[in-house]
Amino acid sequence: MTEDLDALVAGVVQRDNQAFSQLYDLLADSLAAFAFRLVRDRQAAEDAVQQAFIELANAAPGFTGDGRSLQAWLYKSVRFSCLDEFRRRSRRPEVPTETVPEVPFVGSDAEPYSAELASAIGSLPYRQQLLLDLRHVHQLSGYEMAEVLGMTRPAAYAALGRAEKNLRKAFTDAVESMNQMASLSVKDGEHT
Amino acid sequence: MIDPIELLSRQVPAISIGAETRSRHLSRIHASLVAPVAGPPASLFDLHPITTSIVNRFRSFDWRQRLTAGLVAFMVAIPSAAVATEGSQPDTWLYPVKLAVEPIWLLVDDEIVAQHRIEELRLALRDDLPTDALLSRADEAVNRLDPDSIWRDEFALIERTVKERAADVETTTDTESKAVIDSPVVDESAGAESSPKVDEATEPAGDANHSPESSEISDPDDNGSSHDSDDSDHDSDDETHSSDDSHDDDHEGDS
Repeated sequence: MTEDLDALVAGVVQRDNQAFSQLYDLLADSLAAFAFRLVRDRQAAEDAVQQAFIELANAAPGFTGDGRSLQAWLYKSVRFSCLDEFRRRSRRPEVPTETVPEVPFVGSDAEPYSAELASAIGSLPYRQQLLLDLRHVHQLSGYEMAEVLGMTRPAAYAALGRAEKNLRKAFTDAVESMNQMASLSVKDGEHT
Repeated sequence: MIDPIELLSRQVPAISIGAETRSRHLSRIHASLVAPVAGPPASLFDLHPITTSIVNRFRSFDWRQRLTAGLVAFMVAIPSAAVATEGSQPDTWLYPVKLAVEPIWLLVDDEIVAQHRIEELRLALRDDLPTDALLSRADEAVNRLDPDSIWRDEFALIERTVKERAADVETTTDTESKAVIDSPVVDESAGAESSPKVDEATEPAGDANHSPESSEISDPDDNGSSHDSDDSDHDSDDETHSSDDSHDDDHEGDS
């Protein structure tokens, strides 16, 4: 992945159509998922991805960096577009929360403990959720995470460490409560 | 137990951009690649400027943040105002603020109002006599206190001082006003006759500046040279009488 990105940087700087198409195919889905976690709206997430690529097309001639920087730049741009969307929404009536779907993951139902994991992640602060998402779902490095969230690298690693610790604790609690509920339901079944 | 981090790493985002959306996006991206770049590459902060005003930012706070901001502002503003207005006097522009803050002070210290009023009285006494309004305000504030409060004693002391000073001032103003009424006679007319009254009233007896001429003239009971003059008058009368006698003698002679 990183090698592919490194190979595309030169084409992106020269504003090559082919390079942009390849970059889009490589990153658009991940960027859309990241944007969806931020705005909880598929259309807005797709618009944020498109906006990020258009901004990159304008800024490309002056771009200096490698593939990782390019990826971080795009994630950061998506995050900024999502923040703009938040601001626009704050001036408009809120979308009713009942209609907002949860963040979808491929095979989330198939994986064991996926419900407990979703519950544990949901109990974490928003920034910690983002850090876990960027690091473990989108596989961004510490440098990229720091770039996207506007933090220093040590601060990003420290925050990620706290997020992982909290996730483990919340996950254990969620599994235990699920087990208790399951045992209670089994006992109820035996009684009946 | 499964590690949740490992479980999270196995998850793949489910959003995949459809073919139609992809082609629409790419056509727009390619169109923007054809367009000339206006200038040097903008930073993302330039591309996404934060144009929200401070008011809008405040509106975007939830009620807890607003409450906290309000409480912090209250906790900073009230003590600052209280300290700033602590020594203000009734004729200064900060005095209304001091009066406005006092009810809040009362929550902490129920004697603060009386203390303020008495301090104002003290300051007023230092320069001049306090006004009746000040005294009545202080009286009102002190009457609200417990009977054994030290401020009651303080107020009684100040009240006594005020009365004493007022009495002094009254006597002084009475004599001064007398002097003012009498003084034009002294200055404008021949004056030497009436001036001793002023000297007696305003200056102690045996004043160093007292002129011997004026004392001579002034004392009506003095039996000094004035009698001499009377004698001279008598003498002159005698002379006239003698002249009359001479007339008589002449008449006698004639007869």
